[in-house]
Amino acid sequence: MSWVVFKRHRKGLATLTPLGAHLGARLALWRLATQGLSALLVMFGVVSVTFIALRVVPGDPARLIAGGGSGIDVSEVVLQQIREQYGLNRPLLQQYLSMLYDFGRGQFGYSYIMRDDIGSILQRYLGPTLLLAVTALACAWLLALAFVLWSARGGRLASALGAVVETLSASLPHFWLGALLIMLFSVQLRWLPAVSEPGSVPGLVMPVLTLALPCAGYLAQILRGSLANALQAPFALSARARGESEWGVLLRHALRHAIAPAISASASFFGALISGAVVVESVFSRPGLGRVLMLGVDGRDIQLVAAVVTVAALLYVIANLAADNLVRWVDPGAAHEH
Amino acid sequence: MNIEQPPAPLAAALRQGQRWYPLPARWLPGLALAVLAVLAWAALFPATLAPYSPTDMDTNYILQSPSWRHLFGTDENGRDVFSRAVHGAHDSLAIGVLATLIGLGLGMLCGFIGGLGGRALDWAVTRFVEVMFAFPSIVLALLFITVFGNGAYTTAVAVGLSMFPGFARVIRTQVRVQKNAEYINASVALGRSPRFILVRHLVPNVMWPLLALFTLGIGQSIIWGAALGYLGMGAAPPASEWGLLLASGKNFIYSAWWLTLFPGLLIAATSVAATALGRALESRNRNP
Amino acid sequence: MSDLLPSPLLAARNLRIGFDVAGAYREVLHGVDFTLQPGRCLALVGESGSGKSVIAKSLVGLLGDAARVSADQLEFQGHNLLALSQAHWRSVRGERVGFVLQDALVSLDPLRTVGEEVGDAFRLHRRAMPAAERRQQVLETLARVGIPDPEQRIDLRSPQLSGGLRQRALIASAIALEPALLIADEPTTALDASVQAQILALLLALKQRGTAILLISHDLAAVAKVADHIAVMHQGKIVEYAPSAQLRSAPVSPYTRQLLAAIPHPQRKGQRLSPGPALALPAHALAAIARPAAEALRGPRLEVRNVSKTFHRHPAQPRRAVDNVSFQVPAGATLGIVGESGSGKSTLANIVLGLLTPDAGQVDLDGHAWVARQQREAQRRPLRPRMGVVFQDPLSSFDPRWSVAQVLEDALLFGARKRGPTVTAQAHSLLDAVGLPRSALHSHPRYLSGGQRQRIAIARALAHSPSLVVCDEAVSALDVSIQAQILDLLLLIQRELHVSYLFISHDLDVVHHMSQQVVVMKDGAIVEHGEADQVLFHPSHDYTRQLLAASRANGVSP
Repeated sequence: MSWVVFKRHRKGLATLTPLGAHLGARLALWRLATQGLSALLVMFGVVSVTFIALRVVPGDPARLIAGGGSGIDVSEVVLQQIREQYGLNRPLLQQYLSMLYDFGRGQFGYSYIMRDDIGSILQRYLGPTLLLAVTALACAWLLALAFVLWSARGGRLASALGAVVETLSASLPHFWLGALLIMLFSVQLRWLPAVSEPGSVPGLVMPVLTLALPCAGYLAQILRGSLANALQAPFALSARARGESEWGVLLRHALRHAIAPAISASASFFGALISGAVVVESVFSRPGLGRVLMLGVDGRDIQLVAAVVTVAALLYVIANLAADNLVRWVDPGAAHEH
Repeated sequence: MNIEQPPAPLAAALRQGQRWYPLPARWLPGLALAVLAVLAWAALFPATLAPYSPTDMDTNYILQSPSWRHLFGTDENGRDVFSRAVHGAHDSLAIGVLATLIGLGLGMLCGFIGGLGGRALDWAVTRFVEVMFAFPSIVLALLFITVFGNGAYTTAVAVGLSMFPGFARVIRTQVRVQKNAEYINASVALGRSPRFILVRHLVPNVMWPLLALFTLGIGQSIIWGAALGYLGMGAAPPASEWGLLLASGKNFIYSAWWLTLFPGLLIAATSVAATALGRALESRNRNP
Repeated sequence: MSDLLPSPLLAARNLRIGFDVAGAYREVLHGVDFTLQPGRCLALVGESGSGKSVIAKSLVGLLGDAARVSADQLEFQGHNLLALSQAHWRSVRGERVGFVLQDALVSLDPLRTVGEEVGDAFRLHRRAMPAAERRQQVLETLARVGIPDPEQRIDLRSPQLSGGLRQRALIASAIALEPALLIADEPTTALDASVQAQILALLLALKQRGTAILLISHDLAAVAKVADHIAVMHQGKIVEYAPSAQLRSAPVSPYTRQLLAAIPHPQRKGQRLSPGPALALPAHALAAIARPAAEALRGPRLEVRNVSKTFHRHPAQPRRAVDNVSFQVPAGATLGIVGESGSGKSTLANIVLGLLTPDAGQVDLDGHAWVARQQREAQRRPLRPRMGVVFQDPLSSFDPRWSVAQVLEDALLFGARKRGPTVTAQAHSLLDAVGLPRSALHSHPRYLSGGQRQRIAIARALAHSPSLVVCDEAVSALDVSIQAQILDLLLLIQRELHVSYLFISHDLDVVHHMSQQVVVMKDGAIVEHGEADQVLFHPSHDYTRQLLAASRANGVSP
């Protein structure tokens, strides 16, 4: 890629100043640095919000850990023990700073409910959840692209049908869709296992489908909308006037314009996919971060909850970073307009 | 820049005719509205629709498949699933509406402050919204529930909280766009006060398109509310919220399919109806 | 008439085009005849809705599925265009007919490089050509349309090019295979006068090299230089078809005459531009909006002193949008400001309107402090009724949710007055004054024509009997005949109400027509300031001469 700085001349004529490759690389590096910095800022905010939610809002977090809202009287001795164990007897500011410091270097502490170091719990369960979410996202893209391209050239009826199918699939609840799939493929047809073991490929099929279908519906809506806009844009008319076929206009011009907004949207879908994974893991009894989070919430293990929440947000932030740079690659003009 | 010259109903009709993305069929919004009206009726006056009490157990009829006597069958305690679902409409819909209202309220607050505020304020609000956005919605809701325990109202607040960053983003963008529109300049040039411009121009023009967002939001929050119920973190068991019905059906997925099918169908139908209505409103906003 | 000539490149007889709209057929082109010889240029000129663009699209088969095209004859190079299949159409487009749309910023794919876009023609029609040779051909094509340093620009995307280069690149993509016919639909519309002149010169050069051109434009003056024949279109028909020199010097059809008369001309200042009965404001309307006589007209209405404004959008490159500008607008007179895009005239307008605070300098309105660095909007508000404004795009200057009645009543209600019969009566008077039927009160601006919308905007500006109205490109987006009506209306209002105008436009002739004093702006500074005739006929600054030359090159001659 050749880097060019665009400077408007006073007379309104453009003059071009080609820059050396090293300067271009430096620009890219600078952009990456600012992106990384703002991602760090968001993560700092995430940890802060988590801290406020779990340690400041409940009043006495020790009581929360001991019994939640159940109202059971817990003896002061037990509460004191909990405070000792979690460092809750220290001043808030000190707790906050130590949480920032610990989370910053990946030290998440000990989970009393799982009786294990949280770092190693995350190591064990992050993989299956990531595999699920990423496969589902890829699947959703494939489904949405194939579906939109098929209905784009299929005339009015196909695209009307497409719109209906997308709306339907986008509003399907994961937990119900999963249950229906189980009833169909496990109970009736006995093709696939109802319980998804990690590492088993047939076990992955239904969870991925459950997660991917609603997401594909959303993606297809976005793709179809921006594809329709691009196909009616003047540049598409110019392309046709040059002798380009309808497929050519679709694939060479319109698709590229449609993909950029869909990529940006995928980043937010990634958050929804993590949410969906929590549900899907429960439906298919699949081990993963979602199950860990549920265990933590159930047992009021605030250390564990804080860690999983932070990691989930981190995944979202990373997905956003990736999407940003992917969009820039697909649509270099995006950098110019802003 | 060119203004479209003629009033040209022809040109407008042509654009419509060439629309490659068809508007939802004419009757679809009406149908969606009808579905929602029936559900709202069920939520407000469940006794008029439910043939049985949702809590009466009839040990003679345990896990009966659907029949004319029990439209949706009976559960493991011999309770009529149809009646339970009708009574559950209240919780499910209340969670959906309440959560959306909470989300929209917070979203409006942040959106208007960010959109109208100066550079520093906008930066701070945008960062805050971005941070809240980084929490996957169910994770944020679970964080909230960890602290405040579960229950129908906690669920509504939790879901509302997880929806507000999305609303805030859209509202802020909309405020920014409308704020810089020429008609605002024209109004300033007429000598209008900032208050007048905010109340008479900005709020209506920002909020009217958001009506669609509101209905879309209801569809989504019903799903997330039910998901929390399904996970056992939402409404508490004596209630018959739809997510809870599904969760209890999970144990009988091999034997009693009706326990899973019907409550889920209701959730899906509600959310599809709300979404279809929202889409119709959206496209009306775009082509008035 | 064309029987004597060798076979024409393009011939249409009784060409009719219509559309199926919501089940009903509506004809928009009602039987049109024309021929085009190889290497000549035919211009189709008309206002929006005249059917000219429909003809252009029908010649490349891109009218869409709803269109019905019929003709006794529609032949291109001897082929019947009515009988072409889609595959045949594709071999015609780009190969034998090139097609240029108006705005290159949106007509070239912003995600693809100029090289890819121009190379498309070779890729589609010369499939065997290797990539390296294609690139070479693209470079040659870019050079042919006068793009300097094509090597440097071939890998850029259209948003990275200036308006003129972009339009050249678009033309390059159409003529890459040297088609026998180039159809150019409003190729210069969105461009500054100087760039417009360059593009027209390029088209002329192409014609001289043997390409036949079908030029479509709303601007009769602009096409005259390039076109051999001009067909004037009106409401789906050709009302006059003649060699261009003849058409301009001795127009026959009343419509053409009206069209020519509607263009402001330096020699015809002070004359009516639009036809029709003598204009006068109705007495009651005059009574309703005339300024109270008690206020004597003393001193200038608007006084701008040493105003400057710098934008710091890019910290490294602050842009001086307005640079030490001073002028006065006398009572009951007009000061015109002319400049190309980026000259700072819009920024200046916003400062004068009190919408933007200047870094330095001061503006007084009717002798009162109006705009300055420390001046607050609250201090300005009591004076607001003294100043009206008419923007370029009236539709966007009305609240999108408001009807005409709401727009006018909102303007009238400022102050203590309450909504009621008096306000409605005043709204009626305003509509009478701007020549709109009172029934317009109940419609939405969206359903009015551009001219009608602009009349509403003028009515709103007059609501408080202002002493000064700022017209910021108020007629730039209108068709010539509508522009003529609006200009006539503005002059009438000025005569009757003694209102002053600050009239801002990129069009030198329009500004001259409207103004007693003219200010020429360039890069934020005033380069020339004087009596209107003086500036137009005896410009003292080079830049003014350049502007004049560009505008003359586009057709108008004093």
